Amino acid sequence: MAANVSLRNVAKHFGAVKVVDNISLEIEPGEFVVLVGPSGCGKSTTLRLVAGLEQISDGTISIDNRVVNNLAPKDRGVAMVFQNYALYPHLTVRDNISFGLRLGRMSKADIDAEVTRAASILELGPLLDRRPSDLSGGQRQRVAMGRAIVRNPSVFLFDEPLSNLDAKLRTQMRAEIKRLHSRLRNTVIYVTHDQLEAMTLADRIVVMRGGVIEQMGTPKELFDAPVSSFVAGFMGSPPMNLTPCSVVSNGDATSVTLGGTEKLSLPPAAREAINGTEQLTFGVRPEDIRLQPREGTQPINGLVELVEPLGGESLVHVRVGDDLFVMRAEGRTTVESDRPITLHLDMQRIYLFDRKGGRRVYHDMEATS
Amino acid sequence: MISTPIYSPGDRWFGRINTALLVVFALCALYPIVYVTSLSVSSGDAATSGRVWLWPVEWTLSAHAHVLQDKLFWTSYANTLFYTVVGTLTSLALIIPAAYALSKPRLMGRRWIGFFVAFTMWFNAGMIPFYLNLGDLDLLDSRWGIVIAFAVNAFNIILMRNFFESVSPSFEEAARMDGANDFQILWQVYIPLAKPAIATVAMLCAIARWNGYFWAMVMLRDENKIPLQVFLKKMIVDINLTEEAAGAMATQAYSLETITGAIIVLSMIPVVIVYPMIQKYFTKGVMMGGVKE
Repeated sequence: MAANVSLRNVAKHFGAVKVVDNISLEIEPGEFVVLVGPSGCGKSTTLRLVAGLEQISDGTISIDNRVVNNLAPKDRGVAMVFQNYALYPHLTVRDNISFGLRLGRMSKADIDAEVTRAASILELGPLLDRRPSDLSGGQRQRVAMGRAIVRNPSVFLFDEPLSNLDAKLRTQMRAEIKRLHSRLRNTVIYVTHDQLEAMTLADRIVVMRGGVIEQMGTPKELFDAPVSSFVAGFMGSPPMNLTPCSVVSNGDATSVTLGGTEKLSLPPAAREAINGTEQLTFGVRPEDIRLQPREGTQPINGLVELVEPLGGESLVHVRVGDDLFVMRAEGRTTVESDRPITLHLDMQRIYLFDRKGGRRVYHDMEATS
Repeated sequence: MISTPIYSPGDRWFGRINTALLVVFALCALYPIVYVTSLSVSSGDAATSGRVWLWPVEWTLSAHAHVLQDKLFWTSYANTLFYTVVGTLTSLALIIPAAYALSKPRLMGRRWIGFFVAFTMWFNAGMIPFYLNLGDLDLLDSRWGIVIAFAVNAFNIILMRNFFESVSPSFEEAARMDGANDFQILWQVYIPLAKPAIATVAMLCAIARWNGYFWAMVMLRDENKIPLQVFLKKMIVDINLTEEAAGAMATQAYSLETITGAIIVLSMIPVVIVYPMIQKYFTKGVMMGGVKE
């Protein structure tokens, strides 16, 4: 059965270092929440605090409306899948999965039934008598999930479970985790540094930075309405083009200069939003740059530095003065390196961030809604 | 021999010299075993006159027969087996939990405890205070005295601790999530993972017990409690001192040298049988404990 998870003003200090700094988060029963952020942002520590593998320094953690601050991991109703699988190498798959059940002195018949259930969910039946060393990375990860499933936890905790897999297997396992969640509907807290995993799996994403929550919301909210240049640069692949720009006001018209030479007129709403701020970061997603003009676009000129063909599409890297812009082009694009090019930026979808604090000062929300 | 073209002439010479040196070392280790075995199955006359240097001369098993007929030989053999088996198990029972605890950063005072354990590797109270201490604890002339007095060795604790430290903490955390307590984690997770290291420590303990001579000689008065090594020494002394025995030997096919050889060969048999079976763990274990991956 799924449970809600509540973190209120939770902090974790290692000596003077604040790894998690006063975070609050409410997770609904059955919700799939992904904690994402760069290395050292505190996401794994937050997960370990929920698991009970670390003692919190301050605040309250509740699972299923019960404060669990001083409960042992086994008593919290959670199960965890580790980054390195943590399968016991001396035990068979069957014994790995049933390890916790045997410790709990469950009857053999019940253990067998639970192992069979987990094995059928994860298609592990033919592997039950093998040892972890005889399994592939994906199979090991499935065994690790099986070990979690048999405990019938209210909350699943995943600590970067796919980071040791190759790209193809990662895609397969991502779909498998998604299917598993659809089937079991348990609450899931999932840690990753891969924004693609976060976008594809999450009901809600929590972006962390320096031990605090930078932003939380649905994948679409984070992608379309990042609150800061940090979130904007973190979500999306390739990430948003972010470049410092200078603001030039000339009567009623306000423009920004990119790459030291290319001028773009800002929409009237942007003019009001920036309210005299001169130090800005200009942002535009690769998807919002085109090779042909359209209504609402403005041109900038540059030089093609690199074309990366990805099959279905190509990424075109364009040097504009001192700045580099990346755009998506179709797979069969005729764009070639070292050629001049004109890019057309969709000005309805641009972002402006305060360069000092990184906070977003302008974006036309209606354009992306 | 290294001969692939990717090696320079210098590398090849290094390989040849290495091989030659290793062959010499291997012969140095092998020769005493071959010699003493040949001695034990040669005639007393051949051994005394120095004609045995590699292969047996005037083959006979009379020295072995003489030793095997001595009741005290079997008593001392049983004692040695007791000291080795019970002593090693006792050592493991104490060393493994101590090493596990010392490998955990959450152990309060870990650095100090670790320091005091390591301190005993370099400094100890000395032989006489140690002997007096054993006397005060009523451990002299007692089989359990031998077992308890040498049960714990700092080097073995550190070797074991290093291995435990090299085990990924995820195993412990996964077991803790599954509801295991510290004893269950140690018994069901760490000990199976530590088989190579345990085999290494067990081998080191067992060899020390099997070859233990000095403290057994000092501590034990009752000859029914002496181990094989002390029996060997006793037999040599007895034979030297007893003219009657020496006179008897003149009429026998054995001598002091062949009897010594026979006792050494008989005492080697269990080690020769057991060692190859755990050698793979022994070498792997030493490396695993010494290098943190």
